Formats: sequence, structure tokens, C-alpha cells
Amino acid sequence: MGDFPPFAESAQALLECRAIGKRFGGSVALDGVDFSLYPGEIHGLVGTNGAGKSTLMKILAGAVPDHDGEIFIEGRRVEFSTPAEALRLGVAMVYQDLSGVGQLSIAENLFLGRQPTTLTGRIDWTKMRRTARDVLVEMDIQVDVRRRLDRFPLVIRQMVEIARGLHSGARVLILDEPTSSLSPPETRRLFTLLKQLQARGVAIAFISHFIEDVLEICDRITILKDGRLVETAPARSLDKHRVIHRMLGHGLESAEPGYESATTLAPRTDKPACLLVEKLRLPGLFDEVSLQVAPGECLGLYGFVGAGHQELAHAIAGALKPTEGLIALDGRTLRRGDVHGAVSNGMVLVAADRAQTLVRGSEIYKNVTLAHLQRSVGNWLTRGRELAAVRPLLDRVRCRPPKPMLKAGSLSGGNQQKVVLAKWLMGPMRVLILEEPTRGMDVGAKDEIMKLVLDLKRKGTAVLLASTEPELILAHADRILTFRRGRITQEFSGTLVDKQTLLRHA
Amino acid sequence: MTEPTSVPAPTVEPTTLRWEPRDVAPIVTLVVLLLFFMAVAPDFRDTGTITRVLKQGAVLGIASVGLTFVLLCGEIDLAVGTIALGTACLCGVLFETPFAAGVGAKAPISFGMTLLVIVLPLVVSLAAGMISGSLTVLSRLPSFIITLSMMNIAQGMAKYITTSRKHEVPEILKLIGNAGIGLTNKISIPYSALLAGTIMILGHIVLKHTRFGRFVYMTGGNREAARLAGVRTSQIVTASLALCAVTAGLAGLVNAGRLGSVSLDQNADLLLNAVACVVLGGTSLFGGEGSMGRTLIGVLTFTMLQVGLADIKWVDEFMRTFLLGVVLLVALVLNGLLAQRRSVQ
Repeated sequence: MGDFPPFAESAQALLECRAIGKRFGGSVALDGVDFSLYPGEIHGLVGTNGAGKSTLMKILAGAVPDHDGEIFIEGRRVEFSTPAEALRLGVAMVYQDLSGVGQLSIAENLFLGRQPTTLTGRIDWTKMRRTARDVLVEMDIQVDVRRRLDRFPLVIRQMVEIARGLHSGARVLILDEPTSSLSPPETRRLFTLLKQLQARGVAIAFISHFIEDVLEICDRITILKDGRLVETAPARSLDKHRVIHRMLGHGLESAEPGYESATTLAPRTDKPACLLVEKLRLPGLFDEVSLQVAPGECLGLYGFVGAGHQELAHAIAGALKPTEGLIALDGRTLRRGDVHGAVSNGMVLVAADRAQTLVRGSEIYKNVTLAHLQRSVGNWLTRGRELAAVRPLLDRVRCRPPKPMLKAGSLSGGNQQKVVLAKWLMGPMRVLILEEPTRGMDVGAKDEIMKLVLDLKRKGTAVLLASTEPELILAHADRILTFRRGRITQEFSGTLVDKQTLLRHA
Repeated sequence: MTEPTSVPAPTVEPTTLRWEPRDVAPIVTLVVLLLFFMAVAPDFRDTGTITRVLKQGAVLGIASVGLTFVLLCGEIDLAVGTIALGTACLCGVLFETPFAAGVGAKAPISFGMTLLVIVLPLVVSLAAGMISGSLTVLSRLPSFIITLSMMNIAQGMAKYITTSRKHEVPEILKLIGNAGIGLTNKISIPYSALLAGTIMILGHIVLKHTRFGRFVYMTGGNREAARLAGVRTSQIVTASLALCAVTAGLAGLVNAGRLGSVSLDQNADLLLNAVACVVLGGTSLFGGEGSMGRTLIGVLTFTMLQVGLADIKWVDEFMRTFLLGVVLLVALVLNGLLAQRRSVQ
């Protein structure tokens, strides 16, 4: 933007909220946060995972009722309990996972739920298409509005969502991670649109992990940490370093215990690598990824949600099929997209989503023996034999309760994960690929899981750890690769790294 | 950007082996129906009823074995009935070729030729099942659609090769379909029931004690989890559909033997009756839950219902199908409600 933002602090805020608070169960998600949006302002909202950005914005969009604090629109106190009410008062939210209907045309999406009708009550297609075209042309989007939405690239779909919000009368737009899956030129295109809207007086809240994007497009930036407001400052007075510093809360409160402090990574081992990945590519997710891991080494893959490192983990294990590239284990090339092949060669994946790793409706013992059924029980399955094979493993992973006859779905998250690990412990493991292995677990369970991983690593298993949590990566990785938009941005080994450095490269 | 995750409260674990309402319900249904028919139908109290139920249930039982596998891995096979028909028709046509028994089955036929005439149609049904299976896996379309097409193909083939004419079938099939081992002068165990029992026991063993059986359950329970554990789920699905086609074919052969010849009007109800049997036993239509034992109870219940309704004097022939439907509906809904009670706990 120019030197002066096109709004005056003295003008009345379009949207203002005071002392917003929200608890989920026992934990505080938001605690007394103030936030305001002026007409023609783009206001960035940043913070680490779980800082409360999304919760705050969902409250403003009416998606989270029952919160503390007050919301004012043009000085008038309002309360919304549904997104529809918020939209009626002019607040629209565009979610990261777009909510448009891919099978309908662009025009139909723009008018979803409020199609223009003729006098006889039929849908007025001509009018609908004409208006849709006009609305989009006004935003400089030239597309065939009769084509299905899912035929268009993500940026167009996002713009259509924005247009839908605006067309239904929104003056406040909330964008949740709008740039996370866009290519650089697409991001430029979105920014041009946002600036146009800004000139028209629309107020925009911009949530993003990408600090550069926020600094570039926003007038003011609000930084949240652990559900509290750290500060709201003009973007001009901030730089990336400072923002990250504030996000992590350095200097504001006493240093946090544990992994906050910098970690010195081990130098690269001279052991020959057992897993070799070369120029792996899956369009839209990741590209040009080459890496190698040695036995007994833990390679951390760090990036924000959507950076492609999580999908990469799946692809290496064969759960996704990359279009190009090479995966070799102990010198043997593996077929791309072949889980069975990967598993029988000892390369296994623990996916983050336990709906992908556990048969919840089946007993624990059946889950544990699933991958190595022949090795653990032989050719003739009996419950007795299976239980005998499973019990020691459940003890080893400290599954509680250690009762193999229970349904796997009845366990807590941490214990479910232990069952998943036990499944792989049944056979030999050359490479263990972990995707967010401790997400949503309490500290005790986290420790137990990571201790098991450490134990395996000591015995010579190569570990790939993909996560969006810098703490986890810093605490357990020997070497770290950072990812941004599907590509490796930096490799760290043998140096001192801290959370800030990681965040800067992601 | 995640909501603060609440740590799941440790669940109160159920005792390891407990009879669940879902397990008991099918047995209760069976017993209740048995007592009911014994009370109202004097003919049903006759010991010969056992033979009648076994004979009628055998065909259904054989077809239900394969269908149990298919339902357990979360798929469906709509071609059961017409594959049964097609297999029997092929057998009849082969039997009447000049190389075998000739038109009208006048010529004597060697044992080897008889065997060929029976085995070849079964191989063809196996091939049909494998085709449905691999196409389902390959196209990623629901098996509902693929087997719907296969249903028409099998029916069309049957019509084409028989030109809607009735065909004779080998003596041995007639023997299996009608004769049995007499225990008393009233009770006899039909060979067809012995065959069905053997296949059911085999099916039970495969499901409970082999890797393939376990993979069938896990594929149905959570296909993605099974795949990520290295299970080749596409092969499991294909094999289940192939197995289902073979048991359907065998059921068709036995049925033709029971009826003494093969014609196009046979096996019309086989598919839906078999589905009803499997589900009546408590096997889930969505995969992962069920067993061969449950299928057996389902088959017995269903067949007893058919036989019993025929024995009640005041139920005339035209009412029977209607009542069968009503009783089925009530039994299935009750089973469903009981099963829900367990999942809520």
C-alpha cells in the first residue's frame, strides 16, 4: 500500500470486538481479545498453531456461538449465532477448505441458495448468468460462468467464494489461509483483487501462516499467542523477524521450558543412506523433492499446513502415487504408490489421521497383527496364538488398558497410536515414516510415543518425522528439511537452529 | 490452526467376552419363529419338517456363503441370482451336446464327461466373478454398478445359449438335489444340505483361521487402514467377488438338480433371499462385521419362515409372500435396533 492506509484511525470501525473469550471444555482458546476492522482496511492475523486465530475469526463469522465479549458493527452491538446471521449483517468468511459446490457451475455457486427466479417461480438462468458474469468482470475475473466450478484452478474458486460473499452484501471479508495452496502468480492475482476491494471500502481480515504475505498486503497486523492478544500494530512498523519473535512470545513472558531454546543438530552422519528419494513430484502437492535418510537417523520435515511435506510422507510410503521421481530402499527401487511393496520391504507409515491407520471397530489384537499376520501367527490363525503374540507388544508400548480383546476405537488417542506402533513393531522396520505422531495427545502419551520412536532409532531404524509443530521437530530430528509450497527451502544439519529460524524458512 | 484438543476421557472398557444383544437377536428370532409355527401349524410339528427345511435351505445356504464374504468386505454382488441361472443353463446345454448325453439326454455319458459338464460351468462362473471383481477395483465404481451389469450379462448369456428351452441336467445333480441319507423313515439329511454344510464349514474356517479371511474383515472394517497396513485390498475384493460367483454357480447347479431340469425361470429370488439371509443373521451391509455362523442362522430362519408359512392352514398361497415380507421387515428392524443399543453403550 501507499504511505498512508486508506482509513483513518479516527473513523468509526466497521467491525469491532472487545474482550472476546472462548473456552473449549477445560482449555481456554481465546482470552479477552480485542480486534477491530476499519472500512478499506486489510488486517492481518498471525500466531502459531493453536494461538486462537481461527477461533476468533469463526466467532466473528458466527460459526462459534456462546462466546464471551461483545461485537459491534458500525457501533451497534450485534450477536450472531449462525453464519447466515453474520452474513446478513455483512460479515462473510472464506474458509481454507473451500465450501463451494464443485459439481455446479460458477453462476450457480455465486447464487447458491438465492437464485433469481422468474415470475412463475422458475430459476431465471439468463439473468443469473448475466449477473454472475457482470459481478466477476467487475472483479477482473473473466471466466465462462456456465462451466463447473471444479474445472477451475483454486485461485478462481477462491475468488468466486469471495465474490459470493461480496455479492450477498458483505462489507467484511474474513479469509482463512487464502494463499496456502496458491502458486506465487496466483497469490499476486489474489492480492490485486484484495487491493481493488480495499479501494471499494471492504474491510478484510487476513489469516495466514505466511508472514511475508501478511506483511505485504496488510495495513495492520494483530499477533495472537495462546489465545491472548500480543499486540496490534501497523504493518509498516513490523518486519518478519519481529513478527515471529512476538508470535513466539520472546521477551514478553519468561522463557518457556523445554524445546523453545535452540537445539544444535548433529552433523550429517557418514553412514550410507538406506532411503533415497530423488526428484519426487506430485503436481499440486510437492515438486523436486530429493532427500536421503541413514539408518539410526531422524530426518525432520517441517512446514506449515499445506506445505506438502505431509503428503510427501504419504507418497514415500506408497500411500499416494507420485507422478515422477525415484524412491529407493537399500538400493532397491520401489514401485511408486505401492504400499504393499513398501511394507514388505520394511518401510512403514504412521499417518496422522487415525481413521487411516486403525480399524476402530475391530479388536486391538486384530489391529496389531494386521500388517505382519504370517510372521506373528503363522498360517493358521487362532485367537490364542494371536493374543500370545500381541500381549508382549502391548506391554512394550505400554498400552492402557493392555486388553487385546477391546475394540481399538474404545482407546484414547494416545493409546490408539501405541496400537498403531505395536502393529509395526511386529515385524522388522527399516524406515519409519511418522506424520504428526503426537497430535492431540497429552504430554505423558507424547513422551511415551516418542520414547518408542527413539528406541527404534537407536536400534537402527531410519525415521522420517513430518510435522507442523516446530517443537516436535526440534526435539527429535537429527537433521531438518523445511518446506514451503511443496518444495524444500532449506536443509539444517550440524548447526544451531531454533523455532524462529524454522518458521522463517517455512 | 487447530482447536485445543480435549484429551479423550479413558473409556470404560467392556468385559472381554460378553454376549451382545446383536449376537443374541438372530437366535431369539429363530427360536420365536420355531415356537410360533409349532404352536399354530400342526403340519409343522411333523419331524419331516427338518428334511423340508434342509432341502429348501441348501441352495440358499450355498449362495449365502460367497455373499457373506462379499458383504463382509463392504461390497455387494447383484449377480448372484443370474450367475446361478447362467451356470445351470451352461451345464444343461453342455449336457445336451452330442459329445455328452445328446438332445433329450438319451445317450449314455461317461463319468469324466459328467464331471466336465459340471466343472466347466463353475469355472466360467469363477471367471465372471473375477471379471466383476477386477473391474470394480479397476474402475473404482461401486460393485453395485458393476455387478448390476454382470447380472444382465449372465441373464442374457443364459437366454442366448438355451434359446429359452428347458434342458436336462446330469443325474448326479438330481441325486444331490433330491436324495439324502435316511436317518429314520421320516427324517433324512439331503445331500444338498450336506454339501451346503460342508461349504459353510469351509467358509467358516477360511474366515476365522486364514489370513485371507482376516483381510476380508479388515478390508470391510476400514479399507484405507488395511491398505496402509500393506494389505492388497483390491485383490481381497476381487477374490471375494470371484468366490461369491462360484458359490452362486454351485447353488444354481444344485437348484437345477432339485427341480430336475434347468429353465430360465429359476433362481429369480435367489439374490434377494440370500441378502436377506445374511443380513438377518446380523452381518452388516457395510462390511467388517458378521460371520458364517450368523449366516447359517439367517438361512435357517428364512427357510423356516418359508416352510412354516406354507404349513399354516389359514394363510393361503396368495398371502404368503406378503406375510414373508412383513415378518422379515419386523425381524430386520428389531435386529437393527438391538445392534444400535450396543454401539451406544
